[in-house]
Amino acid sequence: MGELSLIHIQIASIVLFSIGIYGVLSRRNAVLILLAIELMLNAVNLNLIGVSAFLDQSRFLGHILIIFIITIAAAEVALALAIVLKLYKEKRNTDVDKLDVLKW
Amino acid sequence: MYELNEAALQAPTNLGIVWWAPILYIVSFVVLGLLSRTKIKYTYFVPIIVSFISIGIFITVFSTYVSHSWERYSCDTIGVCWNGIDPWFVIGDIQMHFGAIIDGLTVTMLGLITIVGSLVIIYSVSYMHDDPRKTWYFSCISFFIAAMLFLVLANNLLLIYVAWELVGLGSYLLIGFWYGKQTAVDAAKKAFITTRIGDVGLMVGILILGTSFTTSSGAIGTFHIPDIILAAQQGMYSTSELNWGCLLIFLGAMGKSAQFPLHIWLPDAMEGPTPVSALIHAATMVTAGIYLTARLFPLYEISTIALTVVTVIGLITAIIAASMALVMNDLKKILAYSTVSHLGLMIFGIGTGGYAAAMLHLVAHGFSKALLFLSAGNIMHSLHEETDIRKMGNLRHYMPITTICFLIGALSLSGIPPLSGYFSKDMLLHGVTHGKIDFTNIYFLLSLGFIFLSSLYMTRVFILVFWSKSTTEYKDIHEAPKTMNIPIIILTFFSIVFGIITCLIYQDTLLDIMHLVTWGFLDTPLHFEFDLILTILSVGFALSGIIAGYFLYQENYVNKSVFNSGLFKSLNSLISQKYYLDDAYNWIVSNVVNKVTAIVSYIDRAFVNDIGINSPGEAIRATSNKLRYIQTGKVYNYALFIVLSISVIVLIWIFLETGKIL
Repeated sequence: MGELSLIHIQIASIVLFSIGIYGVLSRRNAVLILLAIELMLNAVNLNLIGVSAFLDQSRFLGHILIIFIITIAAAEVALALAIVLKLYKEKRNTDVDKLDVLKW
Repeated sequence: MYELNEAALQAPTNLGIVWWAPILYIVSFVVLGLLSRTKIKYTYFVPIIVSFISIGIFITVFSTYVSHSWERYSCDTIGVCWNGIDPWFVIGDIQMHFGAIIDGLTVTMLGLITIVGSLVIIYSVSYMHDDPRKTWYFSCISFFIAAMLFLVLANNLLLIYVAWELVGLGSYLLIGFWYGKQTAVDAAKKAFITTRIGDVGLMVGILILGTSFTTSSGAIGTFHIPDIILAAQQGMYSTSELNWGCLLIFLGAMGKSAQFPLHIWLPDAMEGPTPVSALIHAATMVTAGIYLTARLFPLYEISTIALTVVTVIGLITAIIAASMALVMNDLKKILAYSTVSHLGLMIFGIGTGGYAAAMLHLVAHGFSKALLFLSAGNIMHSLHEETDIRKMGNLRHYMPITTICFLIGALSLSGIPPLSGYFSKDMLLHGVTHGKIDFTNIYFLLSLGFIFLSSLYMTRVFILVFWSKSTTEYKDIHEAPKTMNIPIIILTFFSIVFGIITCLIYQDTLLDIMHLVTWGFLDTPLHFEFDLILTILSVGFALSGIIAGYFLYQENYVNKSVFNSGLFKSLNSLISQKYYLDDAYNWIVSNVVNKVTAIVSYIDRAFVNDIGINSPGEAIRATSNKLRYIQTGKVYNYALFIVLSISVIVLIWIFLETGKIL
């Protein structure tokens, strides 16, 4: 194995992202789908910070951007969880299989 | 466009005061319109004050016009134009100035409108005293007069068109003022629709004249009347453009001035209050067509076809309407047909080139006819809205003032000297004969026949209403109150002296005023000339009409049963049925217009609506009905779709970048 390089970080990011996609597609529970989406988001973050750290060493734009994304993602998750909570109170249920009324 | 007529733009600014006349009437309209739902009494003082001010404005403008600027009016300008400096609006090359023409024609019309208008307003105060909606009535009258003032002031055809339509609206509101009566509603609609038919022609004619010539500098067209006239005289229009323009504009004038065959609305317009009839017949509505034809007279001088049409239509109208006035039994309808007939005479006068004589007759007839209508209003007021002259008679004992005034008005319209109708008719005959009396001239013979008819029907009305024995008992009949009689007496005074003043005493000043817009292409009489033979002929025909009427209707010299047999009977029924014109229009509307519109509406429904508009909508609805089942509502289906689409997009992107997949 040698030193840590950009390709390792990217592979890790792809693996993480694929796990996220799999999670979104296969889970039935809304909370788990949210978790999987967070996983995908962080995979992208990882990719971004890797590229920033290796290719743009003189500046820290990528790092700053990541801080922003994390902050906003936190707010977004809070919102999404609130929706799920509300959904649960209405339907006593978080199974997305059964939540299919928003169609024709 | 201003290279054509620079001089017309430079005007004495003090004549701008003339705008205040219509503006004040508009103010009166708005104020009374806002007050019309309130219970405030005495609102009529607003239009009365406004009308006095506008008479003052007329006198100011008149004296400025007469005293100042005589020499400046040579043949290449059309009097004074007062313009704003900035254009009203600009479309391409056409600059539109919101301006006024102030020449003899305008000043004449201003005088007639302001004087008759104010007298009618004063008369209405008593006449409409018990009407609960009289504030709205005075509001409408103000609007009507304001629109007419705008019309005679306007210096371009577009502004004239706007004012023309406003006049139509005013007449609609006033004719249909008592909207509770079905006949009034019908009459208002009839008046509006009939004049609209002419207005279509007017609009197309204006557009033809306004856009169809190009000046040397490349500017296209203008709507300014002086420029149009100059352009026509410089030969910028082709013959057909000028002919069509003039004919179509005359169609508008025919609608407004009730010329045959569009005269049918005017007799029905009687359904409005009687002072309104006086206003419509004397000053505001029907004079608009005469005014427009006179205003554009230089164009008609050039377009001989249009001029011939004007002459013939005028003569037909004059004779036909006079014959109908002879057989009607409704007092106001007789006066209405008399108006139609005299309007025909004016149009005929313009057609024969006696343009100033026509304007003179317009004013003389305006005073006399307003007088007759207001007298008729007096009679109806006393007889509880009775208008059938067969039920009247012997009124001279009960209403002496009305009788005398009515008599003078009737004599003036019959053309008895020295009343004003005599002078104007004589000048019109001068225009027809061109100085030499020729009994092979069909126009001349028919106008003599017209004079006979008009004095005959006037005698009939007068005898049946005031002289012959009454067939019904009158209850509490009385002379009209002073406020109603004073306007009538003033109008009588004008009817007596107007002709003498203009044609004998001050004819150098006053008659010349009316001549500024002619270019002398036609041999028109410029002054009132006393021609003994002509006078003997015209007065003789008028007197013979009166005498014939006396023997026919007072002495019953001829047995009435003659009229119920043979040729007379069919003639009588033909005329009493108004030459079946109303029936013909009804037939045309129900059998032609309605059928055509049914076909058009079927095409519209079947092709445009069903096939053109509804069928694409139906197709989209059917397709989407099938496609909507794609939506499952399951989140992971959407997610999968997103993932797959992104994969495909990425693959395509890679392919486009590198030329191969993976």
